[in-house]
Amino acid sequence: MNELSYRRAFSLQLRKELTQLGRRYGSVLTPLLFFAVVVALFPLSTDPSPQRLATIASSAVWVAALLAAMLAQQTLFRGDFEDGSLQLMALSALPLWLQVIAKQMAHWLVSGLPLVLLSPLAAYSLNMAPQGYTTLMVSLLLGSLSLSSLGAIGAALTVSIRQGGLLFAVLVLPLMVPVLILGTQATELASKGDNAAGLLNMLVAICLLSVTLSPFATAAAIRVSLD
Amino acid sequence: MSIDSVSTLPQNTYPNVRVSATGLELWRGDRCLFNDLSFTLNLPVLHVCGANGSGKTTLLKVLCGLTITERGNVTWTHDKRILTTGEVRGQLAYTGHQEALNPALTVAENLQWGAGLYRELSNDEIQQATEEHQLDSLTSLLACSLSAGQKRRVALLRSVLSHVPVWVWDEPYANLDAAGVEWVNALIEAHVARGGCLILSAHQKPAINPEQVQTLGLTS
Repeated sequence: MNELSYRRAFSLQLRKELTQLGRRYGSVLTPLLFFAVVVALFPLSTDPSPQRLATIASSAVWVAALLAAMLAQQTLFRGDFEDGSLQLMALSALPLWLQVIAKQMAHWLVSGLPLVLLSPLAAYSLNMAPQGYTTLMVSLLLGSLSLSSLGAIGAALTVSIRQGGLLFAVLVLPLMVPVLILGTQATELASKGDNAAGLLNMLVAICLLSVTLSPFATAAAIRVSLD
Repeated sequence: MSIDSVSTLPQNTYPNVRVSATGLELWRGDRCLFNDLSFTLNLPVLHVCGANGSGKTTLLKVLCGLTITERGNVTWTHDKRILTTGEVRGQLAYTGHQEALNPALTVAENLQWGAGLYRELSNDEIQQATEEHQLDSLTSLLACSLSAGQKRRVALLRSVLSHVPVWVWDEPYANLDAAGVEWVNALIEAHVARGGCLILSAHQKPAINPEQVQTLGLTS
């Protein structure tokens, strides 16, 4: 296995995913739309005064982002499992973990990144103090990368189960909770004008750990699911 | 179609890759699919037959290494040298029940991806191969718009394009018309003539030179 075939494994999978996601924009837009709707529903379910909204803004945006990420991740391998492509990927001489990284990256580019870019708009609609926007975006950037990596493990483990949705949530939600806590707290602190560097550093650590280690766990989970 | 016309196959002959199994035992729930199954493949083609539900697909998955058995091992050899799992993966093109065609991609894109898992290949090569096998009218169609038989042909062509010595085909004749069956037989003969190996499951014995076919019957 040389450098060239590593690069080929990555580009092959990335190009395939981006092409097919580009043609299925309906399923790509669903999590984003879901995110926007959840954020828009929060003011309706509580006292809609600007002061009140500002206090819940960071948690509302983060919970909406977490749920949208889960929605996007749950079916990550479903299509490939159903049409048999996953078997082909597992049987290829190209490393499966690398193919997993490429696939995950393509999905993050179309579902995670737009969420990060949209988040200031959501925060603005909930009257969050503008000084918190940068931290919100940075924490969501780190958070969405972690969520997509953790979600991939769950998606790979539950792909062969017909009604895997509930199991996916039970498996993945506990892993996502620390990310949620750190993310909301960091945003909260920053929007009050405090320094959130400590919490962001911890998010960086979680992000690095999950992004680097999860592809191996995901690849192993795929092999188990194909058995 | 004569063997010589199949120029998309590599000109050099394939290495002599063979498989054997000893004492395979596999359970699904409380049902025993096979118990103490042993065989050695000495001929280029292994034809796995048996009634519905007798475990043909499972056996093929076991041989590929997708399914792990309770007991026994599968050994792949290349001129008496035992291959590692990683080495086997690069030598084997699998076509299962599902065709592994992404419905949102065109036939050409699917072939580019599927055969690309084995080796680098250009668009021209795919174009040339599809023309040669009379599938060029399909290349720009989305895979979701193909009929079942057309999907099968495209999936089998992917094995041809992979240029690997071992093809593992699960029910290659399913959904194919008479011309398709003939086409598959021609592919098999061309592959065998180049020293390739084929493991297939089918209900009828493939209509190729019987001296090259070893049959393994599974009982339920």
